[in-house]
Amino acid sequence: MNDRAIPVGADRGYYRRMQAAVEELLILKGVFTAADVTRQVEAMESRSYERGARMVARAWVDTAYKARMLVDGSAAAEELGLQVGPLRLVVVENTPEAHNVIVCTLCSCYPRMLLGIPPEWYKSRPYRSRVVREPRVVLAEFGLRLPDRVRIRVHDSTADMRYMVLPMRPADTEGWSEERLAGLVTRDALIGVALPAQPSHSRGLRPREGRAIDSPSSRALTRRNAMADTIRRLDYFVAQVPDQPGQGARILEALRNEGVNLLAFSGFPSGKKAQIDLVPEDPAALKAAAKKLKLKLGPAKACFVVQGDDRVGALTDTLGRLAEAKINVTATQAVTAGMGRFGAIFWVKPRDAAKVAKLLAVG
Amino acid sequence: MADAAPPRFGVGDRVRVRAATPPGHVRTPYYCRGLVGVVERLCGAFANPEELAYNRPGLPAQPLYRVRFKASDLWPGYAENPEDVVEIELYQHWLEEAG
Repeated sequence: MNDRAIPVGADRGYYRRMQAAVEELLILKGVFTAADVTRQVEAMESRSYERGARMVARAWVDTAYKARMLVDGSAAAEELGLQVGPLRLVVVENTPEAHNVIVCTLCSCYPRMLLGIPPEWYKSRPYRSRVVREPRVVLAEFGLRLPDRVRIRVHDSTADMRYMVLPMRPADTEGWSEERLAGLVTRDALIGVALPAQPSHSRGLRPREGRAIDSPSSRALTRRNAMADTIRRLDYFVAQVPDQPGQGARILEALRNEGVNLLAFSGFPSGKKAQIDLVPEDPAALKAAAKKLKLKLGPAKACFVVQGDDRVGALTDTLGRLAEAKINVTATQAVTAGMGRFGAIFWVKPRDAAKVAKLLAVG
Repeated sequence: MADAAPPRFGVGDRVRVRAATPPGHVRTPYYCRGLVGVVERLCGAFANPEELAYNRPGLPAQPLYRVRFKASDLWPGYAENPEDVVEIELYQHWLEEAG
């Protein structure tokens, strides 16, 4: 979880090494302890945009609350029992005439006490430098196309305030509970690069995915995804097991007891048996454990694992690039990891693996 | 904050950002320096970050304003809606009356 988990000798870059050195010094000097750091990191990672979504949902159903929220965002958060500490929150309201979007051009200021850790792209130079001078182009890259008559207000959080967007309540949500309304509010809607999910499109948002892959905006989206997502080529191993209750639990328990960490795991029927696919962090450790456990594994084969910030269309660009290169994906699975992250795995024919690695610039 | 400079500007006042380039930790973006905007709100008074960054107290605290700029004033040849704005937080010691 924190940097100390990275093996010594791994290339961590200048600033990461500096951060680790300063952290070690402060611990040695007794300013704080390693446990304090862990606790703070855990607290930071436990906060998510769902806190902001609750405030938005309340504002949608309670106009008096909304009025208080627009005057003093921090007090409105505390009113719902959301502790925001020293955060000075300004809530900016979207209307049919004006759309708000948040940035910090100087660094990466973000209402972390309320929304958790900012997405990678929020901290990237392209987003920070471009959204103030061509906001419509940037929003279009996020899939948000606003009518030309809508005025855009870009908020640059350069100093002591932090910002959250109050989006407009989606149509066709009359009578919805606050909880259900909150489910429509995404992190990106609170930053202003997206709108809340629309109830009438609950299976949709697909039309966007069908966009021509070589359009200028999707090329720019490629850049954004390249920053946000990590794509790795990994070895996976196949085991055949009887199609019976408890087989998955048995194997996972045995691997846990051997200290084998898995990055992905799946099981599905295969003929009269069941097939289990194991993607280990350390293939040698898995092979050693399998030998000890008398678990017969197939040879190492290549798969690709994608990890990134959860967002509408999270896997679209990656699959789009494969489609463009006419690469047939054998199988794929994706699932949200919660906390604003998603993971996906896909398999291709062995003959295509090198091409895919090159195409997606897999390290 | 007890030790705070009194606010010199009110909502709706036109203000010009100083066209200065001091060294150190400065929270005034280059892209608005020398340009005129309108005070959108007063946010309170905060210790001066240019001092805080060097472990000095940063007092008296500086009134902090949100200043609204037309995007077309910030970016010559701005091609999108001429009514678009960028709102920036600026400390009082960076602002002058624009008349």
